[in-house]
Amino acid sequence: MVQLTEAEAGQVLVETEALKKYFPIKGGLLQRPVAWVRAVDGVDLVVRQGVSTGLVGESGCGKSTLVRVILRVYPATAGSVRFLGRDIVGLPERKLSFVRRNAQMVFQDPYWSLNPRMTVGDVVAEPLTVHTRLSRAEIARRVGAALEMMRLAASDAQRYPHEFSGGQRQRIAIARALVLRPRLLVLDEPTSAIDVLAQAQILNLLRSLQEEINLTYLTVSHDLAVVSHLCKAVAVMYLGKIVEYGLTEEVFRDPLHPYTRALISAIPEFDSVEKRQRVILTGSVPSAIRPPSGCRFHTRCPEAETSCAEREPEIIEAAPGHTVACLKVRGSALRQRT
Amino acid sequence: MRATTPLSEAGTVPAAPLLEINDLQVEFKTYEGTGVTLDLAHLDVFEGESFGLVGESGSGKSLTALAVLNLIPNPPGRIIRGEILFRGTDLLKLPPQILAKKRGAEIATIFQDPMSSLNPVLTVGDQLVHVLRTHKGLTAAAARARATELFEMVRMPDADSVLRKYPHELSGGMRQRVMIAMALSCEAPLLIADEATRNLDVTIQAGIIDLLAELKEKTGVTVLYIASNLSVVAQLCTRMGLLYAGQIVEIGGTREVLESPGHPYTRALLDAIPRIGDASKILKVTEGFPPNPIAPPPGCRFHPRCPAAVGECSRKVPPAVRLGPGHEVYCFRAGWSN
Repeated sequence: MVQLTEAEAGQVLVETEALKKYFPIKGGLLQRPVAWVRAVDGVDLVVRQGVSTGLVGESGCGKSTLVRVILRVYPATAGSVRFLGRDIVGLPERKLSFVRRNAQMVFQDPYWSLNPRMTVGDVVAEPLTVHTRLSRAEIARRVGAALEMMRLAASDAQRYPHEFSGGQRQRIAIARALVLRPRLLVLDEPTSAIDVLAQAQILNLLRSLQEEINLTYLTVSHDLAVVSHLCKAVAVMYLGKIVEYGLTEEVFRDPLHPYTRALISAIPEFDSVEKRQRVILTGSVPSAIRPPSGCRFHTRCPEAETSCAEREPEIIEAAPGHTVACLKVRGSALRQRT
Repeated sequence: MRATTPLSEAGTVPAAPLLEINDLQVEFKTYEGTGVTLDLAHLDVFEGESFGLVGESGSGKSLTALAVLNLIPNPPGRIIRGEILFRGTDLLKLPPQILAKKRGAEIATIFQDPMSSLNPVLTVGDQLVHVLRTHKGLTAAAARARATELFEMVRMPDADSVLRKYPHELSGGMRQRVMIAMALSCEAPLLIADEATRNLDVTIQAGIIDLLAELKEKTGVTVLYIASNLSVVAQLCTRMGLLYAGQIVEIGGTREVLESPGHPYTRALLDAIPRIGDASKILKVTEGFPPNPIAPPPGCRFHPRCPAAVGECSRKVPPAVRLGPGHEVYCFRAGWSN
């Protein structure tokens, strides 16, 4: 996979190579695997310090599975994940604490991700009590600082999650993720369960944190606008594979893969009530148990040709730092355009 | 084809309202106390139009739909005053048996979560046939034939085989198509769509939006579209109303409201939506959060968060201010700009 130009690139935080995650479907008397769901099927992705990266795609494309394999929530089936330069695929759990300390996760629904029986202070302090041996006073100080960073009051630590609105709860969840001062924050649909006004507060906060505390995000979202707001780079996933990757601005301005174009055109826009040319995809995402031959998108692609069903497209660098896997895109032709 | 011409532009005064809500108040009793959660001064939906009712969660938009169907769970909720006129008849004064007949036959509903609205142990075909036999008195064979027809109308791929499937075998988009087919089955003149595209992927959502627009054109059904997403309403509805904390704050032609919003809340909402390729990127943030529905603030319910609030906003409920044909704002500072 091609990276961004050296000038913008920081240290590599995460690097995956030919990463695969298959889930077994068990059947028969002995409950042996009879088939495999290929949730992630050969992904090369690099996330560098300072280059927050978005993963976009429809439900079932494997984007949430991918980040969970990267964080070793799920073991990988094949391929490698390097975190801060060390392969973590085969590491035993007790040696993973450097991953846990440096990469934290924020989940979609703050109504489920916060324990209702714990005070906000205990919720936010938990990563510190697990991973550090700080004194109680120091923990309380850091919890207060994390809450204040998320525009909550340090005194909110005494209260319980149910006393807060959805947006506030998500800020509590982010405070919990930040309290260990990680370098990578994995955000899985961070604002999908939240109303627009609260979403704006959170997006602005997350944006400013990137510079303030040198934080990098790996953001999973079906909302391309959220990704464009938070992430410098974006990877578009379809059926377990990355089909396009590049700077967010470039990918959204000049999408190369027909799937990316369809995704962008499907976003309902309200300021142009006039009709826009929409690429409507027919049908839903094919089964990840038996993905289509050749290019996996060919069954729904409005531009597919016969060769698309036969040959699997390689990932090519169509423009500097902008890669795409489509037989109909040729690198040289595009280079002239840019 | 999408009907997007606002009424005022079409130059026609719409026919009589199909649905008219006057001075409706819904009270909720909880352990925290009793409060007027929904307080609708006036709302009308005209024959043949698509009206969008937009608000954040807890703003009372779904409660409005439930009130029209007289399905507000009592206790804790209770309609304490007001009238809901459907073709001139006050639905609130009808005996329950008569209203029950109107539900489905004259007022059809698409609820937001098709998985919990469909019966998991019956095939979707059987469920649709059941509706047709009860409400339309069709024979089994005629109902089957009509079911297939309806499935084709909602562009269900492979209609015949889908009829024999159970809800869990269908994708989210297909389940929503089943719900739409059911809602259409009785040819009710009013269709209430409560977040019909929520939780769907953008690509699937785009297809459902197009389908609804097409069906509207074909059948002339009047649609009350309830949504938290402005852009969906912008695409489907000719007129819209915005709810904040149980009160209408602005109502008018979709284009007028979105292009020249008159209420500070509408402005705040439009400013808070992240967009792709927006260079400035810092979103305007409205501080605070929606009030407790049991104890809403006095006067204009938005005043504690409103950048334009003056003294009287906290004392008196603002009257309707006319900004243009059919464009009304409930605000003392209507048309204020920052």
